[in-house]
Amino acid sequence: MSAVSAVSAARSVRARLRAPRGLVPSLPAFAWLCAFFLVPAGMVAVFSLGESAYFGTSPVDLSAPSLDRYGEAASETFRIVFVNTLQIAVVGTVLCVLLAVPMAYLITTRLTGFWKYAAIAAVVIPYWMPFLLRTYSWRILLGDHGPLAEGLGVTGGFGIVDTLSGAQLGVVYNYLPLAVLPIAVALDRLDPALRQAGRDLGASSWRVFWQVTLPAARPGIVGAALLVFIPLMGDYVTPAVLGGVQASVVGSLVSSSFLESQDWALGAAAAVLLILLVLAVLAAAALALALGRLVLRAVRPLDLAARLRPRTGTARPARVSGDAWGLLLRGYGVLMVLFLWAPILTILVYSFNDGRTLPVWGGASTRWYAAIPDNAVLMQSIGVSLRVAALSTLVAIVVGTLAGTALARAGRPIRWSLLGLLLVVFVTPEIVTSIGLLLMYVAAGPALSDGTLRLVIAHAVISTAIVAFVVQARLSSLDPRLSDAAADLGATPAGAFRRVILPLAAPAVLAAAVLASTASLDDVVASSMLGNVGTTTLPVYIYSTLRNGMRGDAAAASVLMMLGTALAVVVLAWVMQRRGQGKSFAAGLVGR
Amino acid sequence: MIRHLIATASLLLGTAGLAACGGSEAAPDPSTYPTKIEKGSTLKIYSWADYISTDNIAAFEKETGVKVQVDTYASAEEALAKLRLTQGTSGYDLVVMDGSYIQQLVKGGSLLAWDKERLPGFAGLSDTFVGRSWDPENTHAIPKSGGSTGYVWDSAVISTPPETWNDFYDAFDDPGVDGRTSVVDGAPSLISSYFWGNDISDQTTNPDDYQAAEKYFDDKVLSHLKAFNSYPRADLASGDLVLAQTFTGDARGALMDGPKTLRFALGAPKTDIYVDHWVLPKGSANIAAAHAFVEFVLDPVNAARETEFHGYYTGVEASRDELPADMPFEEIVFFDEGVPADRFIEQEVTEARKQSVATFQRLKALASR
Repeated sequence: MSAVSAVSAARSVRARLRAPRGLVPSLPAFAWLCAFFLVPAGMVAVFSLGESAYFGTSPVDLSAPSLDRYGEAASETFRIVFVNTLQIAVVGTVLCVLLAVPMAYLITTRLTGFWKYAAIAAVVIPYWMPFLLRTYSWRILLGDHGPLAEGLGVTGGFGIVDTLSGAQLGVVYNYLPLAVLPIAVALDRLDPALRQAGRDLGASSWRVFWQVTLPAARPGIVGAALLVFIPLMGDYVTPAVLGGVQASVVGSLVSSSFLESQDWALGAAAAVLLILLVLAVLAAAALALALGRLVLRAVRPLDLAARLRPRTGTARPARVSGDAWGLLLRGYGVLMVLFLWAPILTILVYSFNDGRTLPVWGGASTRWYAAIPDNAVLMQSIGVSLRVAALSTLVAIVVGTLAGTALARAGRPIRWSLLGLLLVVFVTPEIVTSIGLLLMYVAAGPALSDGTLRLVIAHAVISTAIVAFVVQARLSSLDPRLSDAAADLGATPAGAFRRVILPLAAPAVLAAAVLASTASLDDVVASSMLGNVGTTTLPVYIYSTLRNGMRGDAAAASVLMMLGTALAVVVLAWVMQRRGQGKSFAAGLVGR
Repeated sequence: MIRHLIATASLLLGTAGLAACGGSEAAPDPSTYPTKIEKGSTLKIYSWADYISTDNIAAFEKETGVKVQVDTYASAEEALAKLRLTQGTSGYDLVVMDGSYIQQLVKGGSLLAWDKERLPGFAGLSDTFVGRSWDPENTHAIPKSGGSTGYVWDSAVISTPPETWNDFYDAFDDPGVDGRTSVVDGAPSLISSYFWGNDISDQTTNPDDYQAAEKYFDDKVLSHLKAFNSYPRADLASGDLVLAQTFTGDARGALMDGPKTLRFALGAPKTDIYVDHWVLPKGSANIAAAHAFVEFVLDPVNAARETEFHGYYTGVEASRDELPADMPFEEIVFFDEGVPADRFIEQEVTEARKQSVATFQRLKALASR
């Protein structure tokens, strides 16, 4: 037997003994989500078979299981609000993606150096402002008697607040970074030489965009659509704050069944129904997408893009049109940044409001800033929020990155079961997970009694899905032979992960960390249900102040927290760069 | 699989339930509670935000040497769910809880009884606040502060002041207010307001009553409604709203911040009363300090400081003498003055709640058509 065949035989034995591809990186996610999602949420799902009891120690009586609650949940009310929600979510997702693609394209292909980092910062930083404040801010800004209407002399106002357009505006605003970042990290994979080659071969900017750039962005666009659509199907705060009577959504129905009506059995049935319906919508969308690709592939020889533009000679001054396109894109970027910052600047201005409450202007003053140190609850809540955000992001990054790798690289059975699990995690209304986790924490006793730990687990469960989808968006269209090549060169799977996959995934991991941290800093439901002594988070505190008129100190503190977080990230980036850790932190975010 | 999950769930619920039984079997006699207030200990309070005077907390800390730690909840229902489920392991020593949920907590064995001997200030509370159906003897719940529900309107737009709930909803038809109206975003306030106005018990379980309520709101209100908004204060102040169902606390804020033409009236012929209470959750680890704190805020001077801080009446009658004479809109703060006691109905949680919320959810769906 020759040496070569001995090596190849050994390799084939090793291959047979080796775990199925992608099993190892998927294991932490499976274990993590089974323990802290499937078991607790499954318990709540079981409630749907029982009957709620207002009195006594158990909120649901399961002695006579039945499917009656499903009949009750599948009401006309549910149908109406589900259709409403679907409409808001579909329109919101389409708008988010349409608005995000040019922005991501601008960031990754047109901007360099300082401006690139500045653009990313301009997209990300507003989302470190608490969710309720940045949403409520639109109410102040666009109110019929708000500063903008008065300033522009629009009598009667814009008629946006408390309408469907208001809700639509709010959801697009609140979910934009979930679209921009995944598309940016996917686009960034694209070698600029490819686009140059396209142009050198005489293609117009438009054609390069259509035939080179867009296909490269496809995984990012799919990921972005998922990351926007799913939370939109569950969000009821944005529509409630900005949509008035026109935006009744299904998330509010589920939540009020659990809380206002305390009918956990009915709430659980409605939640299960919602989860199944959203999964069905996703499946239908996936099918439509697959069909669309088949059709596109069939007609591609006709080259639609080329047909859309009359061919001109090679002498056509492509450069001029390219510059005009670039100028247009930059103008668009400026408008986008204005849009992203408008509510933030509004809060900033109103934090200097001397009035009794935040939204009612009563002259300029710094008194709310001066009042922050006196508000012990507020001060403590900021510390709690930052701590929980940092720790939960860390956990989600580790588990989610591995899961994202598995999603991109694993064989079909593992890939599909992991994808299914992550989707269910992401689709499940937060109130369900929260109640389930609370039951579990209580049963676990002192082992899970630490408030910070409870919040970190809850936040990290949701963030794991976010991280996994973003990382997958970047890795899935990499050449799968890269890790095989590494293996052939003698790298262990762990070595290949560390030296090949991880560096390639780095920008996505950083983008995902940003999104995970904002998700944690925005969370109210789980934080309010699961926190205990000394772990009131900032968003929970701000929600709570709504009842007694939102005061200015929380807004002032939020402005400081947002700027502080941004500053900390910049300093961290600077320090890392100084210490020469390969690419700079910010460069890592966009890959170069 | 389902069978297995049921088993797991029952097991976990059973564990919680057992823990509850273990505790309630030996529900301690209040006279056996520790009396010594430990200097350097912490009193852990769970409440709404900005709902306890920071001056009072500082003064109490100075007087007793006990540190006060306040945590806040985003909704009373979340706090209720937490207290029901945690069964003595919530970690809080003293909780502020809406009166309407007290019975559930008492029956679920989630609360400890107060030692009223240590609360002499209790005697100074108004009859409007004590002895209510949610805890007739105030065994488990000591009133903290409360209010009622009514309507705010802009008299520059609406010339005839609404005197009853029916007047109020009739006014929605006025072309001047169309689309500038809001109602409270909650079934117990909105659906019940139809019952209060039409001499029907708000705890009715007759489906016909709920159908009548649905038709009433669908015909009269929905098409003119701007928003379901529990806290319309800022929108009333800015003029975006000119007619709104409001809680007293929010109404007062609107009148203080808004145009001088804003008016408020208490709902009639009936309306609700809501009172937040101090409750001792089972497992409270600082019972002595909790009693001391509640007695501290029942003191008229301190109670006045509470009202100045959050704008609600504490029920401590003598505190009215301690408040500044020029307190704005004090008739809204002391909403019960000169009002017959039978005008106020306690909000309660009974089987009617499910029908009420289902009707409310349906109205919200219909409104979005």
